[in-house]
Amino acid sequence: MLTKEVATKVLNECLATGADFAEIFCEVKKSNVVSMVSRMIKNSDTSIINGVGIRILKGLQETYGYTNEVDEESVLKLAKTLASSYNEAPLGIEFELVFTETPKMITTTRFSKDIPNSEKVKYLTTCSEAAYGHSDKIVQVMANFTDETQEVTIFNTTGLWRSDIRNHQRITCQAIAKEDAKMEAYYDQYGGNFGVEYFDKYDFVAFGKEVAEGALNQLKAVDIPGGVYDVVIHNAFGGVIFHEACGHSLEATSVAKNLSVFSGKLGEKIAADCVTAIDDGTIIDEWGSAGMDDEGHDTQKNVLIKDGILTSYMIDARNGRRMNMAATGSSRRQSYRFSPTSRMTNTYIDNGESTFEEIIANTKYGIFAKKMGGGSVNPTTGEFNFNVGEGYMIEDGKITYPIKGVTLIGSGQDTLLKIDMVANNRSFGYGMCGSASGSIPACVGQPTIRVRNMTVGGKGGSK
Amino acid sequence: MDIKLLFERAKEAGILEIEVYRVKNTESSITIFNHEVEGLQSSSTDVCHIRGAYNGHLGSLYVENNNLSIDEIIETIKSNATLININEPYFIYPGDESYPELKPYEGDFDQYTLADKTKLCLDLAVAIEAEHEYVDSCPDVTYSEQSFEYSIINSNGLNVSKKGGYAYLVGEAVIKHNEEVKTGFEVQLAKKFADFDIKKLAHDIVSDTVNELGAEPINSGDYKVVVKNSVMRSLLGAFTNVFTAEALIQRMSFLEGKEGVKVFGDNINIIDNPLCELAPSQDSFDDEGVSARVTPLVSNGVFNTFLHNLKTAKMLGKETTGNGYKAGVASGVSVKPSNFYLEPGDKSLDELFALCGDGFYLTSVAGLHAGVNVINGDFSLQASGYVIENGKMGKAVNLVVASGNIIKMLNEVLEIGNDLNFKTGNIGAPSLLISSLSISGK
Repeated sequence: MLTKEVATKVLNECLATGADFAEIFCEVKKSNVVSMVSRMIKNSDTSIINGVGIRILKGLQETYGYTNEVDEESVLKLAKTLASSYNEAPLGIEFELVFTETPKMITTTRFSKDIPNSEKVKYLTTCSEAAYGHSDKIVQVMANFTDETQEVTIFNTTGLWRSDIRNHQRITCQAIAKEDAKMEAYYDQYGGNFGVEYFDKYDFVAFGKEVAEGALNQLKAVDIPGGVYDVVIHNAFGGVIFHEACGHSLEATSVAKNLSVFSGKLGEKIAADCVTAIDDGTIIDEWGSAGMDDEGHDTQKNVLIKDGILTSYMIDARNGRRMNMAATGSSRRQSYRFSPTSRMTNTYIDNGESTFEEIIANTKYGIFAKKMGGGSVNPTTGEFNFNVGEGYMIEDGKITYPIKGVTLIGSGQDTLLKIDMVANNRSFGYGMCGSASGSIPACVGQPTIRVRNMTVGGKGGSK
Repeated sequence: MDIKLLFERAKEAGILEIEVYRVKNTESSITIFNHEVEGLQSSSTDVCHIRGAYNGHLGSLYVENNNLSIDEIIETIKSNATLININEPYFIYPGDESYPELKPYEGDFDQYTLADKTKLCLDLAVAIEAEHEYVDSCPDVTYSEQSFEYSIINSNGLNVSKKGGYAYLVGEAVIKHNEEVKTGFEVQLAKKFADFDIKKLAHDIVSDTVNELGAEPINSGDYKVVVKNSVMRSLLGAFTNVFTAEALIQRMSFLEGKEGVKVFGDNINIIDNPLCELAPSQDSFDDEGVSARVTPLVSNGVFNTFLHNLKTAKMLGKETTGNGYKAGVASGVSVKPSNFYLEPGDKSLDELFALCGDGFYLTSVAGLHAGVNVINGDFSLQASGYVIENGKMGKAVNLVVASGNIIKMLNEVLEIGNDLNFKTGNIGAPSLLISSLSISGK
């Protein structure tokens, strides 16, 4: 990490050619992966990244550069190179770097960087054995422990000087079930931006069994005809529908440039009345939380949609300049190799008034998407797709048989208006979200919801 | 890093074989928004992946600069190696006697100024807006260039290196007509600055997107389908892992037990060729230092062999196919295709439409990271394209789902196009005419 004196010198160098703002992002990240395949430890890898990213702004123009030579001379050289993009007289900006504490969003004091990989094997063994023990049809189990401890320090020419530590870790488990010539896989994960204490409290036997059961279930699943169905999307990772179909289009990255279907729609009704949606980076120990965002602002709880009305976007400082709006603590990046931009943190649809049982009982013929797979969206058109990881038919208000190969498609703006029931069982799921500033941990969540008339792809012929 | 000292100290610490895989990279880019420079980027990095044999296993570590002492590097390698208990062979390869000669790197991007490159971006933005009356704006243009140097040096005598680089130009267009909005996006890769063709790129970005206006879903059903080469490339790319011996060992390949067996139609030939001149890059050695070679994977529908690295070859009593590649510098060596492609046929796209008669022209798919099942070959993807009527391209179709199975699909190929293309990646495919695919729409 740079000292205050060096940082001051570098920032002044950045301002020498007429820029109005400069920022230094210093990062050290230690990551580990331990993988178990067929009950044996196949890999134990360590990676240490250490670099500096410098950002210089002049109005709406940005110059960004990075290096992993972190000595004073190299960083100063980078600052000079970047500053040479401008050639005006300095604006006379003066600042004094003052260190301020960051709110703590993580309770642990035992970070993964200090825990030897050998201590992580026991969790993998537990879920792997539980999955194998569940059925003879389970032919292969893979389990991974991945963790990273990221230490970040940010300095900028408003005098900001802050540090934050993030500790993302998760355990993933995949089981493959085989029966005759049929083979199916199922996968699940558990993790957070938290300490290893959470893993000590978690029931990895139940977790391993659930993964195995998921794979067995897939063996029984049948193809359904494609067409238009009412779709009940379950809680936790089901929130990926909102993340893809709407969340990305509320990021300033697309809103500021008028490229989002939701540009210029603040205060307008964009969703059904039963929908309230929130992005909250301040949930203690949660996957998408942080003490500060990646430009040094406090993370915050942003209500994006309140009772169907669009109330806020997710805004970073630079896009805020274009939009004439304040930043919302939403600026994130994968590493020092990326310039930060507006991204989601923990994004969820809030609890409604129905119950899970009511929603199923009220659905005559439809699909229950118990677990979602991944998906993607085009923020300009709002068109999205996502895949159902575990699905069932609903017939006459009852969940009947497992189905597979199901894809949901639509456009975000339509789908938000077609949500007609929201349950009260909100929970969270974890994923990695890839976008302009790289791949970052993003948490999704929701209660069980029902969407009317969605286009569903399947390969079981015509409906 | 003093490699000689590292090797000496490693040996003293009981690490009998050790290897340093090093990548030096410089990159710069320019982004234009609304005809103004919005962003500039420049970077330089120097990174190493180090692996060493201790206690019968390979321990590894990725480091980004010299902040870690030689002692810390050695300790991390030893502790990681100690934890591994899988019974697998490992290799620190001494090298081959000879390697194929590649054309020398001729990138000339550093001979052009920032102003030249900025002008290229601005000119592209103007060309995009002039391309069609429905172009509303050209929000972003990005120019990016990269040069890199790889080297692998190990204590068994391997010392190979390669230099390379490229630049690319990406443009975007927002197309508006009546109330409808569409975006077009395309990338062009160049080995030399003069290779950029702005007129062609502007046309590629705009023309397909304009044709997509007025698109709507079609009725659900099974259609005769022409699959565009770009879609075939994506589909094939999603299933390349199935062809690797690693997938076989992990029992995750539907080709298990199928060596020498006819798995696809007679007309299907799939090849892995690191030297293929049609692809954007060529390799004379893989990430283990093994000399490049051509592997015919599928010949007339018969599956010949899995792709191997040194480890999987040893485990299964085969020869390596020179496919020991890493997913990234920080990753270990796994098995990956080099330039992997489906051999072209002799039909033009228009001939494929004519032979199709009535059906569907599949021109884009989305959601590949989620909508394919690599275990059994199933896929189910958001798709768009055009109706084919009386042997000609008809009205545009969007928001449908194309579902099928790659094995079944490659058994139902009626005709193969002559338009094999790799675009910017290492997977190549021509357009195909398929007898039946399920399309879910209305």
